[in-house]
Amino acid sequence: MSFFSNLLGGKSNSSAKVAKDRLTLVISHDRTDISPQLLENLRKEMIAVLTKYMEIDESNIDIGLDSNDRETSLVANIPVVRIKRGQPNR
Amino acid sequence: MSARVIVITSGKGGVGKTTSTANISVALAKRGKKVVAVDGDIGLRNLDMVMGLENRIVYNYIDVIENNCKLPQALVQDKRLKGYLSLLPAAQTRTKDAVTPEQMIELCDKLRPEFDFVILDCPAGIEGGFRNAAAGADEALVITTPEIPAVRDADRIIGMLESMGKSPIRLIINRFRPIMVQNNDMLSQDDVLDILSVDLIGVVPEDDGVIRASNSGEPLTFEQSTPAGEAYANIAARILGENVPMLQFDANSQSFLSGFKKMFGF
Amino acid sequence: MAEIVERSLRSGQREEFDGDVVLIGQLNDGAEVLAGGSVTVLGRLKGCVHAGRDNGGKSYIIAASFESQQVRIGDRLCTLNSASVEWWKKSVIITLEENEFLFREWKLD
Repeated sequence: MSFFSNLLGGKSNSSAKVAKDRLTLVISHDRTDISPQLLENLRKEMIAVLTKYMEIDESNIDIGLDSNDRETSLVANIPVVRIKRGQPNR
Repeated sequence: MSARVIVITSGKGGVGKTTSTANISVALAKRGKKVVAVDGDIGLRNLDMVMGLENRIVYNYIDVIENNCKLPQALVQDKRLKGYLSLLPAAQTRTKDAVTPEQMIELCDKLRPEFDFVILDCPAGIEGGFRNAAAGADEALVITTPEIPAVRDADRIIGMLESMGKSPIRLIINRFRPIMVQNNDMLSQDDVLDILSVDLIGVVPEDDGVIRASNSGEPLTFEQSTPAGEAYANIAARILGENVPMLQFDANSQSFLSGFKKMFGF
Repeated sequence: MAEIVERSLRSGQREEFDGDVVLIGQLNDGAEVLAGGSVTVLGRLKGCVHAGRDNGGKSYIIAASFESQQVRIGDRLCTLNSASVEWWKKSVIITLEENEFLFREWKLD
């Protein structure tokens, strides 16, 4: 069966193509399924680092994992109130 | 309604537990039974993909156990067999120590009144994952292939199931290759039964259709027109107590090759 | 008195006995029997038998069908390489004679 569908112009509806599509979707979902606990720890540590250099609006921080096609990105939207002058607080 | 709770296990990985769980569940549902297929592989879930239901999962049974949701919210209804077939998924982001055998027994007790059959897909191994998946089950189906490592692991798992009091324990020989057996290049059905000494409930031949079915997320027993699909349908029938004769692969028979060719469609 | 065990031992199962033991069943590959005395397997001996653990080399091993890779009597170990392959799947009685393993045909009648 797959021999003929190869002859007739490629893997358009072959089960391998279907498999690849399904797998890509499911793996990106698995990858972005970060545990809430991990995300919370990440968020706290990021806030700690950022507040050394700037004042931020902690109540309006948006941090999450975004996934499309093959790429997963950490996307963070952090409103900055004021950049701190001088040396960062240690 | 009180379900028969069956765990599908093997010891060895990769011999066809998940495929068998999916196909047997579909076959039983097609016979009008209310079936829930439970993915016992926490952290490495696969039953959802083999059944083609992976994009419908919202909650899983750990959510149920931890009271994050109610049981019906975690059940994924298979629209192809509406009202008959459901999937209870595992969590992908947790590990096998997220549940205890006692919690699994309680989960199975919640499922029993709602279904005719609870089919539990067991992870490979003999440790916690196996114990959790088997805890709530009454019966067991052991999957093996006609290969030495698989048979040895099957023996181990049968020993453990026996000591856990599971009954009946029945065997499925999967990925059977009649020509290799005929040429004495593969353990025969009798060889395997000789070693394992358990009742055989079915032999499933090696079939490319299994891979295609897994690719597309459509278990073979929806169609049944492949050798493996037919074998699984027969196994479901035998689970229901029917006396279906086993496909005989008689190496000595003159008509063996022609029968074999006919069955495999060439 | 020999202890009588009326079941097969499956892979991963291991049983220890103080004296003699008679196993009416198979000893599957991956199963183990340790005995202070002698071991008789009235079935297939595929697993591991260690006889005479306590009384040195005075114990015997009997198998209705010898299919194992190794046997031990006392503190001596015999692997299939050194045992004669001609005893495979035969009924055998195995003893230690002057620290050497001796395989003999074992007949019921």
